[in-house]
Amino acid sequence: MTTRITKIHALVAVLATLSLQACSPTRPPIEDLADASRALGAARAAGAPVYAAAEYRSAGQRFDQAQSAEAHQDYDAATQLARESAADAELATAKARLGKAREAVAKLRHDNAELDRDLGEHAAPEAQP
Amino acid sequence: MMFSRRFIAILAVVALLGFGTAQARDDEYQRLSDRLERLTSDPALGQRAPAQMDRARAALAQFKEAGRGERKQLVYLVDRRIDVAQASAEAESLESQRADLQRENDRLQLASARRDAAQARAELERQRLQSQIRAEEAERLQREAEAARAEGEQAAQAADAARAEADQAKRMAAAQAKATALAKKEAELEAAVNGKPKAPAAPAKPKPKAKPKSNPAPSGN
Repeated sequence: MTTRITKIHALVAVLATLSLQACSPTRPPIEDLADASRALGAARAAGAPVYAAAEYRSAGQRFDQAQSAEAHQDYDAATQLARESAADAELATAKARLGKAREAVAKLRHDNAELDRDLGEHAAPEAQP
Repeated sequence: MMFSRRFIAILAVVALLGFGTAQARDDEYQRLSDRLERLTSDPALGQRAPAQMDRARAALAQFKEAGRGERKQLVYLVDRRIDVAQASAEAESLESQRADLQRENDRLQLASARRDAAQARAELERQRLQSQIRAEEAERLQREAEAARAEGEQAAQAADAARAEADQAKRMAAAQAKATALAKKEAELEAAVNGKPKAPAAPAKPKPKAKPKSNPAPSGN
């Protein structure tokens, strides 16, 4: 009985060690951080601070957290946060594009309505014979 | 034996917990899958942003195949990928609308420019006609002024002629008066020479140098 318990304990210990190894930090997420940084730059260039402020802010905060985690050698957290930051930045870029398109459509609708009304109110004079 | 029962109970609890977690994972997958399905089957957006849609599908497939620990991390990313696909599809749809509106704007601008050009031509024609009317009016007034000036000159000439005639008549009257006075004096002198009483002398009728038209010479009385 004692032998069986010992075997079970040994098995649990081995499994736990393997699990810890599987979950242990691997290496600094340099590529993920670089991707996140590029995505943030692209979002900024696309006008995300104006058109998608919340998403852009979230991307920046996660990027800061990722850098902080990397500094503390918590590479798993740094990797996850860097990927989330990149995803937020991509969303910010897409929303900035959407915001600009909305603005352009609204402006064109307004301009066209003005032009249409102007043409209706001031029709061209009849051609002189 | 007792330990074995306890161990089995623990295993059962762990298994139940595991089942519950697996069920939760399936619910999460179902939620994400439904979101993506709604987006891809949307008639206005489903066919747009194919690259972003593919990335969302790939993220969902990765989520499905991922282990428990990885899924927890992936759920946020899959949600964001679907968000990105949706925003990109909406942006594409709006950009398509913008292209249509821009074409409409170009058409309206062209119509407006043509209208403005036609108005400018009409205004130019109106100005030309007004200018022509003004020129004709000025010419007519000039002709009238010339006619009036000529008429005035004729009247002045007539007035001068009348003045000259009046002067002539005056001079003739004065000469006649002088001739009368001289004749009278001559008669008096003749009477004095002959010793005859003084008789009134008949005035000599002077010969006028020119016969006035409108002012006949006064009689010798």
